[in-house]
Amino acid sequence: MLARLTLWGCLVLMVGCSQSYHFLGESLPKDLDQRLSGGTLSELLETLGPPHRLSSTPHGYVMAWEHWQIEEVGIGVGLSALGIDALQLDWGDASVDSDFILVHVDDQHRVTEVTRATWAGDVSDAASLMPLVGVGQFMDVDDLTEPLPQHYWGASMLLPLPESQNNRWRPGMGDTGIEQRGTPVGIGQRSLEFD
Amino acid sequence: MKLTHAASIVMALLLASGCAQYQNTRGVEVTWQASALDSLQRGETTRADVLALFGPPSQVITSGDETALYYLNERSDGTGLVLVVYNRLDMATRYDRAIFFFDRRDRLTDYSAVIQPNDDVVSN
Repeated sequence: MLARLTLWGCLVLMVGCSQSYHFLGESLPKDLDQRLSGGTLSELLETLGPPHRLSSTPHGYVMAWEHWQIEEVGIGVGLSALGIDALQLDWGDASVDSDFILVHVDDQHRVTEVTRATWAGDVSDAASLMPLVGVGQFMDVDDLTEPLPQHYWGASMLLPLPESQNNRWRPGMGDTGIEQRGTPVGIGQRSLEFD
Repeated sequence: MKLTHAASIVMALLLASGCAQYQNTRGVEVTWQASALDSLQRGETTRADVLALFGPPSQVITSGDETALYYLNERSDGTGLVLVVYNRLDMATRYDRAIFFFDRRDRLTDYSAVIQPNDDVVSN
C-alpha cells in the first residue's frame, strides 16, 4: 500500500500543467459598421467611448478600439520532482481571440471609414525534449500583452537605442499613426528598430 | 508508519502549492468621474478649464488647429494558483480613459470618458 501510494505520488509530481489567461479591455459592440459610417465624432464617442489608440492624420484622426483574450496552456513531464534533473518533455500552445475596430475621422469630425478585424486562432506553439538541463521561455506573447503606447509618450526619448532614434516615425506617438498589438519591429515605420 | 508517509506526501504537496495576487497600474490618476464631467459645456469650456479639472494628460494630440487631450489609466489585476501539478494565472486589464477635443479657439467640441467596471460612459 505504501509503495503504491509513493509511486502514485511520484507519478503525480512528474507531471505538471499550467494555464494563463489574459483579458485586455472590454468586449466591443457588434454590427457597428452601419451604425457608425457617415456619423459624427460625437456619435462615435457615444457608441464606443474614448479610443484605446489615437493619432492625428493630415486631415483628421485615426482611432482604434480593441479587445483581446489570450490563453496559454503548457504541459510538462519530467523527473525533476524526483531529484533527477534530466529528461524533461514540454508542450505548449497559445491562442488569441481579438477584436479590433479602426475608424478614420476627418477634420470636420465626420466618420469617413470604419474597418474591423477579428482574429481567433493559435499564435504560438512549442514542444521540447530536454535530456539534461534546460532553462528558457517556452512561449512568448509579451508583445500582445504590453501596455498601451500612450504611457511611453513623455519618456520616449529615454527609450533604448535604436527605438529612441525612431521616435519621429514610431506608431503610437500621437501623430505618427497607430498599429495593432503584435506588429513586428523591423518593418514599415519600425524599420529603424530592427535589432 | 504508512500514515506518516502518506501524510508526508500530502504535506509536501501542500508546502509546494501557493497562490499569488498581482496588480499593476500605469497612467494618470482617474479624476474624470461623471460628476466632474457635468460641469463641462460644449463650446464654452476651455482647454485651460479641462486641464485645471483633470491635470496633465497622458498625451496631447494636434490636428491642424485642433488639439485633443487624452487621459489613460491602465490597471491589470491578476490571480495565480500554484498546485504543482496544475497552475493557473488569470490576468485582466482594464482601461479607464477620457478624451477632450478643442477647436482653434481652445473651446471644447467633443468629449468622452469611460471608467470601468461600471461602463460609465459619458459623451458629448
